[in-house]
Amino acid sequence: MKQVEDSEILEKFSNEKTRNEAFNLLLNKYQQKIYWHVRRLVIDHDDADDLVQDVFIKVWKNLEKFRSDSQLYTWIYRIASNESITFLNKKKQRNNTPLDELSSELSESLIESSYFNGDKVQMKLQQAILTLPDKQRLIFNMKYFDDLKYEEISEITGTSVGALKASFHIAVKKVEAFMLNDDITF
Amino acid sequence: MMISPFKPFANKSINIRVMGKNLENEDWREEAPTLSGIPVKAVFAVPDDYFKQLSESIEAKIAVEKLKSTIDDQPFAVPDGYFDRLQGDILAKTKAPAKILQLWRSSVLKYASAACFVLVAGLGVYFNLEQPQQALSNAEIANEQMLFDIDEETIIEHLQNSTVATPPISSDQSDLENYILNNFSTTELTSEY
Repeated sequence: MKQVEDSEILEKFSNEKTRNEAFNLLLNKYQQKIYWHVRRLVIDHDDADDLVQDVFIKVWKNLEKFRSDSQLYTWIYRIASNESITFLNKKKQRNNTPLDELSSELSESLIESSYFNGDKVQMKLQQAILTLPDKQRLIFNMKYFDDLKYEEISEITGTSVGALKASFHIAVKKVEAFMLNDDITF
Repeated sequence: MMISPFKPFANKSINIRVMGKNLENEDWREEAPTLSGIPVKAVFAVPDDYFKQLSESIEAKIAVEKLKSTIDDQPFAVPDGYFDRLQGDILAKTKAPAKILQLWRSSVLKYASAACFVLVAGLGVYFNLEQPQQALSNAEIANEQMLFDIDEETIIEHLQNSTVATPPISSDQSDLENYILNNFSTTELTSEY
């Protein structure tokens, strides 16, 4: 099926009569991508479900003000990333949890999750990613799983390409070291 | 269960290594051969028909948002200029700072007050210790008052009926009594020395 262009979505959204149609097109095009992005960050399906709904409500409310100087998908990605990071920060504050404990909480959630299809290597990889700080994890996920370019990640996170490269390379080294550690098994 | 799609944005950069393009974005693979060797798989899953339900949930929430935007969420009204006056009234009530009275103006007064306090406390303790004795004397007075109120005949009757045994008069005592009664007149006995 041919994917509708962002420009077409925006044009239809600007017209009151075709606004609903435009938003349905936008949901069809982006809801799954955004869901998987959020899910990889918050791990739990129910949390991801709530967050994705909030993200698209925000998109609906602000799409009229969206300017075409950035790409639509990077804009939606930015909203989703911010919502997810805010959620994780609130979770830390609410439970008064230090970073490493939140990481182990998410790790437990991953192990207990009934919606995980990976093998032992994939589980170890996810556990390795969960040892990264939230923002580094965000960058790692977008580069490794979504295969976004540094320029696109830079547009989403508002971080310079140079800083992103450095952050991603640090993350890669940490994950590699974790994967090579034979003492950690699942 | 539905499995996540493989690399959502991969269409632009697929077969990058083979084509030798965009090396800058792929140079991490040399640093992390183990990670690079792991296939990027969709490991998370969602309940069946989840994305259909997700669309419906989002659309329902947006319908609520639309409704909210058309309905005035504040049906109550206030008189014109109410909030300007309210602000003024609140400021008027909160502006005048409470006058702070210094309790201890000098150290002399401070120590004198402390001494008074110790004195008062000492007196309190002293009278408190005196209290049981006072209570005792009060009890005695009460007993005397009670005896005074009782009829004399009742007391005599009580004493006569009393089981308290009077000690028997010894023979020496009775001899001595007889001797006194026989040898001294009543006048002599009653006169003072």
